[in-house]
Amino acid sequence: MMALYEWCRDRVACVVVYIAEAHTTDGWQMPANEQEGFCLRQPATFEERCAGARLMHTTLGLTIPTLVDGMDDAASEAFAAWPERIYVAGADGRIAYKSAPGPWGFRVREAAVALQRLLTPGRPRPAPLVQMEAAPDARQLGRRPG
Amino acid sequence: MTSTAPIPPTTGPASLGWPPAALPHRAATAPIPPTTGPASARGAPPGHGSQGPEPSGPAPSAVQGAAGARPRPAIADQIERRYRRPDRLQRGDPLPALALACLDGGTVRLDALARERPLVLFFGSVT
Repeated sequence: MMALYEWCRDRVACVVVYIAEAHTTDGWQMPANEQEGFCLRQPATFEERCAGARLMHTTLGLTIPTLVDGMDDAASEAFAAWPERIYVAGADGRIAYKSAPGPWGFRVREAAVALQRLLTPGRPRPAPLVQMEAAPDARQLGRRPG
Repeated sequence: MTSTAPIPPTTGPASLGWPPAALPHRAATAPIPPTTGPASARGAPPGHGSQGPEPSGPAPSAVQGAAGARPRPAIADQIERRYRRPDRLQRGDPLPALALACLDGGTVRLDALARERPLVLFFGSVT
């Protein structure tokens, strides 16, 4: 994810949208999160959600601008984004790519290909793909290689 | 459909009680546990975030995963019903005119972000 951002940040707007947690102690806790010590409860207020967004920002070492979904889950609802997902939109404001829902559909590499098509139509650029596979942070949000 | 509440000033975990103060902050360079293999092998239930079509109805309760995996807890169905939404946006659709709060302050409209150049949106959370 960060590799994609670094590759295209001068030509593309990238944002992370923090949405409702997927696996919380008061919900559907996962063994992997327990093992890693990530035992969170679902934020109940917007302040808590902002704290969660800051935690994500810090934990993943993000430098991508981060937005916070409201407590009405408007963004998550509109994009069917929970638990995680990627969208790419063109400069015309129309959706050019949407991933399958995460975690298994969170594929940075697919998004990068779609973005390459937008930036250089008819002439794909292979530049970032190998780097993205090797970059550990590309796997963190989706917990899976892009 | 807007979320325009101002972002409150930074508040520490102690004042909010969330995230818990004892939560370990994982460094960006920390080793990542293996995530290959089927979802069921990691304790995730079949169908959760699968690459196939999304389930059209509630997932069955207590679905047993692969041998050795934890059974899908009953609460998983409740959580999916609470948060998973129908897939309405399609390729070619305009971005929703949503205003979202920036972590650094202020709000931005998603459709405005994609007005002059492409936009990549990563949705997710800590867990």
